[in-house]
Amino acid sequence: MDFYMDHSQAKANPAPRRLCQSDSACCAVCQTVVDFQDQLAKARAVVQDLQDRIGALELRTDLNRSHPSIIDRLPQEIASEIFVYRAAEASHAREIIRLGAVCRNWRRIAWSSQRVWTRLIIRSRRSRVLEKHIPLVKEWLDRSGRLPLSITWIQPSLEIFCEEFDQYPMVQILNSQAHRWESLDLDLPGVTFSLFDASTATDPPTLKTLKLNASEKGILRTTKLSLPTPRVIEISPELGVDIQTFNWKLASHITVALPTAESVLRILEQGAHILAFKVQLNDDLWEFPSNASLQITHSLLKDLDINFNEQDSLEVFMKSVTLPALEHLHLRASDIVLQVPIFISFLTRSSVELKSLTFDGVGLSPEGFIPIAPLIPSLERLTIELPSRRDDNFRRLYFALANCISSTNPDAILPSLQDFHWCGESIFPWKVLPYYLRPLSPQDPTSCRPLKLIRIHCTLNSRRHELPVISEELFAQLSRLADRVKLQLRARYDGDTSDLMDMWKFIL
Amino acid sequence: MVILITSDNVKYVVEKDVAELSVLVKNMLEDIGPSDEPIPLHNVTSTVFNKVLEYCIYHRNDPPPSDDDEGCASPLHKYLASHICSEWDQRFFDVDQALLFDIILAANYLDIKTLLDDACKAVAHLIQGKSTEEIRGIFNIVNDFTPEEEARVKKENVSS
Repeated sequence: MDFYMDHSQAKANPAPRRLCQSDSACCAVCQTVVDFQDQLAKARAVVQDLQDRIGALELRTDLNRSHPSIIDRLPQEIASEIFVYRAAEASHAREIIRLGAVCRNWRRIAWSSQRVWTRLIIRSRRSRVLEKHIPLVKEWLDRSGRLPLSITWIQPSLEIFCEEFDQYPMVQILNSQAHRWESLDLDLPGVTFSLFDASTATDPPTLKTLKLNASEKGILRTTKLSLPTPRVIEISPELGVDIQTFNWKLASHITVALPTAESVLRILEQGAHILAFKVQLNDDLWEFPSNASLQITHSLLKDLDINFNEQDSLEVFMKSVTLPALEHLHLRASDIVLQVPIFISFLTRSSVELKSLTFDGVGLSPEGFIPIAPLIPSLERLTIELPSRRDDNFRRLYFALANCISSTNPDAILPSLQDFHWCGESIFPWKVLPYYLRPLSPQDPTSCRPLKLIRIHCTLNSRRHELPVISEELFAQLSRLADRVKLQLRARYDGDTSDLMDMWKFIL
Repeated sequence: MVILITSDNVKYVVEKDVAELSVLVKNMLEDIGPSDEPIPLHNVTSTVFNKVLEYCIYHRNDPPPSDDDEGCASPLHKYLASHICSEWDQRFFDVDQALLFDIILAANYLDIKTLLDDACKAVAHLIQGKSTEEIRGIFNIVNDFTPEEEARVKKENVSS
């Protein structure tokens, strides 16, 4: 801003204004006065503008004084607690760093709260970039003091190979803190997992959660991680696990891929505290001799989700285990038949009170479901997923569910059923559905099943099936039940999915 | 029943099990023994106490936090252990900032740990996914870093 008169510009002015009485052209004095007045007006405008701006800033300063930062109103330990929660939610280190970038007060609180820095997230696509993180990681670990660490390292593709990785400073830094590992969540190439070494821990290791995710198939055989006793062990199914790799002693939640039913039994034998066990049997992983001689009783296991690779595994497992606390059983396979007598023997031996049961790709031997049903009166959720056109001997069940108690049928099946899910490549007998909700005893109108959800999904093909329809009469019957049960009746026909109830509502 | 009086002299008659969710009130009741004496809550206004009471009534039958959760030093473990927040809780904390922070201060004064934790989580959630400038905007914070400090802060952000 130029407040001063510029004589060169004044001289260049072609038509000066006249202020004096002179008849001739405006004199130089008048011209200078006029120029000064113009400059003064401009300067006043600039001063006014500056004063307005200062006023606005002062108003904001006053506002800040009267409404201090929300964190400033809180005791430091509470502000610190908020930062700890924020850090726990973070998916990237910069979200935690950002807490110290807001203002001096936030920085002071964040930097002085050790617990904020116990969540370490390393995420990098290239190893060169990763090297830059090393000073930050060291500083981070220093700030966390001696508290237990939750470490997440996501770098699925490393440019460096295993031999170099062994010497890689980041692994060494993390290994030096093995006694502080509380949660270790690694998404790295499978070959690198054996380099993590908890055996060097000077203090008793604190590891509670161990999650290993590998993008490529491999086998994990190392004893370096066998010292800690994690409660949660989650290993991605691509990574086969030698059962000696981990200490299963205190584990309560396990997700893992194993080669044989015997290895599942061995883990159940070692892990007396297991509550939930999700296992995928996969003999592609490596050759492992199968031995059916083990007999295991596990008194705590509540939730078992097991994917069988072959008929023998299923039978070996069912013949060898007794699981009295089991509440949720999820049986998965690809076209394997469960021998009903073996399953009945398992249920009887275990005296289970199952609440949910899923058959996903597992068919039944010709005895079907009816002999099984009386052994699981507590069942609340039944899921049947049939990948092929066959009904796998479940069909009689659909009709049996419609029966009430009579002289020829003294016990109605599945009296506690709340959710019924069926998914298959054939047409479900829709007409039986309204009967599922009628009283189980004709003498007692309140004796209905507590059904809340019936979900039927048919996957059909125009070359093999007719267009799936439910009659108008059936639709009317089902509509009357809508306030008692949620009905989801869907057909996927030549790739298009239709909700049959919605179709009728639209037509009517 | 327990009689509680807020700082603006509003009287509340509250069921004992609800009132005793506050460790402060529980200790005072133990100290004074059986009595109809009203208990003054000096640092809580009725506006804020209405919300506190609403929370305590809704959560009166919740199981207490387990020893395992208490003894866990890791924020991640603690967070995951208590992360499940119901729709009711989400609606409860959907209030203006001033009230949310008054609830935190009240929970701290009354020593209601679950309310304090849940309210802190609600504030932590407010800054989730926000840039530094957005955080300053949300909480009316003035950037008071010197140019040298600002440069260091920027460098840290780049290297992370």
